[in-house]
Amino acid sequence: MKKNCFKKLVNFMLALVIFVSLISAAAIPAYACTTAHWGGSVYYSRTNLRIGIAGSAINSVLTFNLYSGITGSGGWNNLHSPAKVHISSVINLPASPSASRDVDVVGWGFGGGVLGELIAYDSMGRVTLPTSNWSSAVIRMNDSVTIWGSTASERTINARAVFYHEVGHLFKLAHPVGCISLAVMQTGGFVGNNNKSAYVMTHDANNINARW
Amino acid sequence: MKKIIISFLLILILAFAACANSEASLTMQELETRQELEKEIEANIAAFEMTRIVGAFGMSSRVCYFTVEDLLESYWKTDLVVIGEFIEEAETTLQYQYNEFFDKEVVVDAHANGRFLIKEVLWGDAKAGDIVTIYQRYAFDYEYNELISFSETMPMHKGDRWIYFLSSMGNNRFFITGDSDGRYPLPNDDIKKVMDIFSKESLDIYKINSEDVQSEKVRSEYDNAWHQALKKIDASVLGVYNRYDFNFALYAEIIDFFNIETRDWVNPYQRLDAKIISIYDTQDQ
Repeated sequence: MKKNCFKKLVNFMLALVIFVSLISAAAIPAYACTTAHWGGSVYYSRTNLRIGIAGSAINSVLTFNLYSGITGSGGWNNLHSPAKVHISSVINLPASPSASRDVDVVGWGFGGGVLGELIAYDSMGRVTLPTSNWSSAVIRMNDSVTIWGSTASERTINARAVFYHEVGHLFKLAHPVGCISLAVMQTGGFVGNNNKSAYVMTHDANNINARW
Repeated sequence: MKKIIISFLLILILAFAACANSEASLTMQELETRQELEKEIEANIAAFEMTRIVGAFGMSSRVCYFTVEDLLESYWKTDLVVIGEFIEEAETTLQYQYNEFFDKEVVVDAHANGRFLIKEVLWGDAKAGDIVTIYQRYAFDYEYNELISFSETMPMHKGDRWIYFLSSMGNNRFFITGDSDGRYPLPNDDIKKVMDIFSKESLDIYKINSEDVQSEKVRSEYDNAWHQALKKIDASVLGVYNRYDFNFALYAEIIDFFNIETRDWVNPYQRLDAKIISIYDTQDQ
């Protein structure tokens, strides 16, 4: 009887150890590059996204052409078939102020080191978290013409990468964590900084695929 | 039985001695200030029961720094590297703008300015005793009981001490160079224990800001150490909402570069910060 009890206890302990090991393995956070995206819903049609560029976001570096290039190669369109995300139009708001659009890009005088930013709002118009349900959003680009680099081509490459990066956030992509893949969604401000790429890369496309 | 009682008493005596020793390095004045702060902190922690944390701190582009040299000389250059203490709670203001979609004014930015007493100057043109204003992008929305932050670093609290890399905005006002890359806790014994997880080689290799195939092995060693370290430390100690925003390799280099000694110091507002992080961790995820 005692022997039987001991056996049962050993079996129970063994099962417990296996169970705890499995739980611990599952509890290890995933640092893989393919999981850098957020939950929550978006308010726009992600295969028909219309982006409006406000006059405040246009200057000698941040040209309308720099923004509209996002629909071409190196941008977020044509990554998958059928498309998971697609930017259908980039609208010059000074020329067409009443055009329908889903998100505005505005120029912003950031106090302190920020190059670009996305702010999302909930249904009440309150600033909300990346992981929440979004009812509206705005992209802000640093309106300084001197911060983007020392040469004209550097300034264009860096500003374009930041714009593509912010649109990536709009598609609910997060900054990769513990991941050294080249990606436009890497945290770095300028191209090359922290493996930030100039254009949308495979890693970014994989995350769109994983999220949507 | 006697032996057990004697051992128990010995342990008690040792524990008391350790507690007494940890306070020994504080002056009487510092101790009194700290006790006063404790009362404020209790009230603030209670106030945070109902608070929500929102922000865009995961949705912005900024320059990342990997070496002290980068922090001092590249991109936004650092004007001051200082150790000091906030002498009051930061003043915060929200910036509103009319929004067509919501047909009302909505929050578009948040500004906080904290007065910081410099105790040690490690770099730049300042002296101990100077007071500078540090700017960060967060504010409290008292109407909705929210903390709105566009910055990766936690709020600036009275009595908290930090190592700061600061870039000038003019008028004796500074922003943190590289946000969470530019503010660090004073190294105490607890932090040192966590830092000891990293090998010198793994820390060194992680300074390389490029994809280097040969360094993959050491990178992986660094990543493993990093994950181990994160398990052992609370983000509130590091002063960030998200512990992944803290660069251990850079922190180790800073301590080494400026030869910053380990201090017997714990930020008084750490408990409140831990509370803020726990609210952030559990909401809307």
